[in-house]
Amino acid sequence: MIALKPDFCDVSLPDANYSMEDYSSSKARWCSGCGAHTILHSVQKLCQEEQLPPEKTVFVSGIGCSSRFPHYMKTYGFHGLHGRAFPVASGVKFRRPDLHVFVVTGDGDCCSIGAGHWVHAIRYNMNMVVMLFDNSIYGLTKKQTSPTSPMGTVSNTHPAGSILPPINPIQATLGLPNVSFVAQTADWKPAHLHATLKKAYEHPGLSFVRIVQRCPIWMKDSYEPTVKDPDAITVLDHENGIHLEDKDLKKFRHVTNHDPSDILKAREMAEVVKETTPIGLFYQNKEASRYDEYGAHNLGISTEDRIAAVNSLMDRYAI
Amino acid sequence: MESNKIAPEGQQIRWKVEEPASSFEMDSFWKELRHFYRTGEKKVKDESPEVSSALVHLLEDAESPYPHSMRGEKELSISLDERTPYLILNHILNEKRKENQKKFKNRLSELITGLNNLLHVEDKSADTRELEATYDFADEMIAFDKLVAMIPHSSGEALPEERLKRLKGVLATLTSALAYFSDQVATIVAEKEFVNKAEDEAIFQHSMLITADKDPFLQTQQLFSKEIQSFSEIIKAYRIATLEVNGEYHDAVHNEYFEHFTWHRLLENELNLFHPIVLLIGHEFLFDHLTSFSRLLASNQPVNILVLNHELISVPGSISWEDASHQFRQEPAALTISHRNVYTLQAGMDDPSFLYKGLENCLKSVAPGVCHLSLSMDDSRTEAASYLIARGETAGRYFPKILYDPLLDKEWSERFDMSQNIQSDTKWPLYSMRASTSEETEAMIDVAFTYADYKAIFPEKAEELMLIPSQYYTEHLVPLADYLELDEERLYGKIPFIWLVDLQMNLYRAAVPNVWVVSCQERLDFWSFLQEIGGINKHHTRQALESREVDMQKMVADTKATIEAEYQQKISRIEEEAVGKAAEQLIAVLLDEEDIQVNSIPSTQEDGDAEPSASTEEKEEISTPVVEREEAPAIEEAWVESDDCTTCNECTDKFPNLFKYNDDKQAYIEDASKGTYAEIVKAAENCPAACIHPGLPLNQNEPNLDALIKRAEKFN
Repeated sequence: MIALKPDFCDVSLPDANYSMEDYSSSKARWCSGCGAHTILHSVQKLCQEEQLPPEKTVFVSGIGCSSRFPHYMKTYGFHGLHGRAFPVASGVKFRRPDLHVFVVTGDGDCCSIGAGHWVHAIRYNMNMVVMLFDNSIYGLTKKQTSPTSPMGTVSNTHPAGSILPPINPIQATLGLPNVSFVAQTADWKPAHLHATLKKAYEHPGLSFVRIVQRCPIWMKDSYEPTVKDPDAITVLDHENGIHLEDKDLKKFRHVTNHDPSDILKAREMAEVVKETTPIGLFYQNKEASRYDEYGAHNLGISTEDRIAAVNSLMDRYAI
Repeated sequence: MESNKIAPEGQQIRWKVEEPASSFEMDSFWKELRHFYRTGEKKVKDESPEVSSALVHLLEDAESPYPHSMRGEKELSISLDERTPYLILNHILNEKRKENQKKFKNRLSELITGLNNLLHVEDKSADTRELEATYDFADEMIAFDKLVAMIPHSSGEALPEERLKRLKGVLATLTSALAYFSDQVATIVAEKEFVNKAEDEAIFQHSMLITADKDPFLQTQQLFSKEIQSFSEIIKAYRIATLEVNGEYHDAVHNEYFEHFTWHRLLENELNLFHPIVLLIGHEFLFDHLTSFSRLLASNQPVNILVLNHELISVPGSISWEDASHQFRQEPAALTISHRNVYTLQAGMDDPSFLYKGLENCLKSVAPGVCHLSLSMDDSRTEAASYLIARGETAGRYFPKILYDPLLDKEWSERFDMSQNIQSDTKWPLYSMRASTSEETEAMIDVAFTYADYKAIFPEKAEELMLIPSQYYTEHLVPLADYLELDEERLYGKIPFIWLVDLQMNLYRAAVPNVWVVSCQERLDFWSFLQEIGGINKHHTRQALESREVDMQKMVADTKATIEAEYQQKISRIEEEAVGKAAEQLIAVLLDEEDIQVNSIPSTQEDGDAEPSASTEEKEEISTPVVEREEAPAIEEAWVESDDCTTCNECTDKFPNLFKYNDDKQAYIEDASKGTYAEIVKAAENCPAACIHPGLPLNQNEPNLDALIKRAEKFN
């Protein structure tokens, strides 16, 4: 028949698929056993499943272990200033609404130095996925107490154990105005993690996902009992929540029904973190106002019109 | 097999059976009947009612497939008339056009921009012009010529002349290719009448219509050679442009390659962008120009030929093929399949989605394609709905559905498909017909839908049959389908019949003349031919199965005999031993000598072996492997529950000899013997997801195994 075998010079047509390799850059330099590897893999898988064009995808981060993330993605990335991932990402989304924006931040970057930006980013509700890598410790600088470290955490800053109650990022986010998507998951439950990220990607607005993350080097004693204890996790299940396959759902011992449209109930659920960690979708509101839609209204104006606009502005100062 | 169907309610068929006639009347009627069978002549032309096939209602499915609408986004709604195949073809071509534009045009534009950028580097003065254009509002303040000198150039050197020439040539070809993907999508060669009609009715708006000349096959062949040449120039330019824009063009390799670039180098997806060439031709024309038709197919050029069969009963006013005693039907599908390289579709109008898919694949295929289509349309000659006529065509094996795709390689069974026919595994489709014999009682009659039943859908054909009043029924009347199966000896004196109804739904048996029977036989022959090459009723398979069954039975019988003989032997030996042992014990008791008793025990245990010393050695030899075999299943190899792996690199970094990632980037153990058991246990202890299960050690000689097994226990 006709020569159909591709040869050395054949060029693939534009409908070719993106593969996992199209999203992975250099080898990730996190410690072995770190939960961030899992999240990286899950995010790459999400990009591949959704066929996000790498040139139309941006990962923005601040400072910390987690914030090395953009280096390992073969997409656009912005490794920003400490605590300033949110304003950079908001700026990107505001003027380039065609891009897929992801924010990678950590418990120090978001809940400590960047807390002010956190509040306003939630309120702006621009369409992006925010992943809070919460390992409850400053790992990059070798063990200092973070705002989410549990009480009594022994660290270099608190050798006798920390004395302040930790911030609960879920509770804090749920308390902010115009909040539209709040979910929690754990890095050592890959199926749930992936389903949560997928749901967050599909959400129209800012989706805030707190990922409870292991630090095998500095917080080994604190996470190990949780990871190995089947009773330590409760899944929030609902038809509008995170969708898990039956076989994956069966792996959890505790499953509770929670309707993500009920914010009061969501706040209640976020409060109960004493015995078990709830994972799943706490709250979702697809109707919340989006500031990026406002920002995009004047895009596409021609250069002439812009120059004219600048000129008329300048003319006002003419003497 | 499809379930037997029952005539729908409301279509009550009445069947009146009268007392048999007197033997004299019977004799004279049957004499006339036999004469009719041989000659087809009816002596007495009585006032018989208008009749047609009683079986046509059994073909009805739940719904008529018309008006036919396509899946979701592709909007198409057509009803069944003589334009149906053209409308479907037109729709497929338009869909293809949209797809090509979507897929390829954007990419072309991108490449053109890319090429322009490359060429732009060459054109230095362009920088100044561009700057001026952007900032002309500030031209009094800025010296553009000086500013240009400050702009860093991505490439300082001028392009070599040869490359420049190539880039410009490619750019010109690609720019003109944009037009190729915007206007027409296909070239259609057809007779003048058809071309005029299509233009009037504005069907193939996006196609170029060409009037066929004397030898349209040769014309098509030449047309293809011309068009594919200009198309391969576009693809060549496209490939060069892609390589250039990506900076991957190497003179040493690619110059040579592109110099000898012909359409044979095109890939399947590239060929799919080519505007297909479709030839519309009548069935009768094809057989008049067989030589040039065959030559076109043998050239293996991917042209598409739609053969429209007008020689059918269902086409009003046509001279249809009916009579096999004078000429066998010429089958274009069988002809093209025998060319081996031709995509072949034969289909009627009864299943529009099959037709749509078949035509679509024909246009996609890089093999030459021939679609042989039958036309069924609303027909004033019969009461039956047109789609039922079309279904009758398939069911009566008059126009079977055939699909042959030479590029589905490897297995014949994949390439050839006739399973879309109604009850494709029987000779004729089988149904159950309900008829009321009186007010209360109903009869179920098993019937087969033959070619004669299809023909009898048309009352003008059914008129040729001879109705048999029920007082003349005897066992010599045989249903046509059964008649065709009878041996020659048993045919004597039998008359075949089929079922007809008049307009009041009264059921009749009607004798079928010999001419019809021969034609049915011819259709059945073609059908068996299709079934056999389609893998149904295969002689070799049947024979192989039979011989295999005989072999199996023999083997079972042999094994049974051997086992019986063995057991018989064993039983007799045990009996002998028992007697011997009892006798020895008796002697021992009588003599009260322990020695004899002690010695006697081993000899009895060893199944009467003569030499006790040799037997103990043997026993030891056997016993050692037995112990191992008992332990073997207990060794559980180490494994990873890969679904639960969190890809944290812990095990793969520390023990790369043991742990690898699968395609989902989740860990698994490639070969447990490549590391120590201690390593596996350590990895299991470190695994944050606790998904490594160390099992039991493979190597029993490792140190501290007991402690390790204990540590591993909680992970198993």
